Amino acid sequence: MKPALTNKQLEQYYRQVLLPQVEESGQHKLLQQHVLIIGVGGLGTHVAQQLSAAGIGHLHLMDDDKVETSNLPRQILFGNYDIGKSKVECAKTALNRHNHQTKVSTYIQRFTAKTINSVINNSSLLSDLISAKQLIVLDCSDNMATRQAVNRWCVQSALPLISAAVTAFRGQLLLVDNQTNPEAGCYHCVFTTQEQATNCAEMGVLGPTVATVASMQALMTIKHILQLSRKDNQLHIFDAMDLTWRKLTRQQDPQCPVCQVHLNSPPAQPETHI
Amino acid sequence: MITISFNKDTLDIAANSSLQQALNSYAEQKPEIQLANIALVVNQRIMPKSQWPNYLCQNQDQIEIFSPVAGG
Repeated sequence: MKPALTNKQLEQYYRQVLLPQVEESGQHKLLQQHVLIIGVGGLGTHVAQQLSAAGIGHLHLMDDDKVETSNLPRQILFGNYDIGKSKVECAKTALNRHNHQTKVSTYIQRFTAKTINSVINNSSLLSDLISAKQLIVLDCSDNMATRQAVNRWCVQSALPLISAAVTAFRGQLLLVDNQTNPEAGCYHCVFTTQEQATNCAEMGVLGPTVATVASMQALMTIKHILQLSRKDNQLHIFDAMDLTWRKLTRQQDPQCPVCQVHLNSPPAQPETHI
Repeated sequence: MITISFNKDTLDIAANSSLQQALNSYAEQKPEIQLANIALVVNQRIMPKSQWPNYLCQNQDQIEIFSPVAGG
């Protein structure tokens, strides 16, 4: 028996349900899905808005930053009245205003291997979701050390990762899913550096460039939930000057210290709650 | 000798040169390249860094250097 949507849900998501690739069953999947967004800046705010509007059931937002004036040209979920306040809390308020059906959990933490374990240990919901593999992780962070840490944690936890980045006029996007597509490798198979790559604070960026990459990240997330994608072994690269996307084929690094180590190991389990 | 292209520049290198050797030759001509922070693409396919010393360049290979962006 197909899961049924309420009349209100059918009305709200009608244009999505109309798609034969979505239908009621697909919308039901979106309504049941949990997504963890790491970094609620330019990418994170846009992707959170799009996923909430699409009816994702539960967003988990993680960031320790506060809203600054310089964020406003591209982080359009925030306004002047949010300056100095927690980004995740302001985002939760704004998202609830737009679509109160999406639940939003907030974690005022900067992602590290240590803090994510602490967050999980304090959240039985997150812990259960990770154990049940019902969580998709979106990397919207702004530095290379965090990107490598997020990738490592996702591989260890056997969670799918959709990683997006944008600086100046360039964007990069990739899906890491070592459970269904180990041949494509992980983030570390493409970028080994731990050093700080170029970021927006140094190089600048335009809001629409960020929004374009974030939209692709949101679209990739929805397609992944609905299992509409063929195995994605590409690195998608956006050139905002030429307004073009390009695809490069990824492959697993046979000596990758991240995904090769965990390829044949059981996924890491969160620590038991005390 | 074989001829490859590196970021659309033509480069003549010894046959059986590895990708790492080709990169080193190219970097001698382009000292501004920051070798620690790059990825390499061979004919539209990303070559993992651990394979740079193992991959033997083929005549007419198209090699590109690109670097990660990390902003969000």
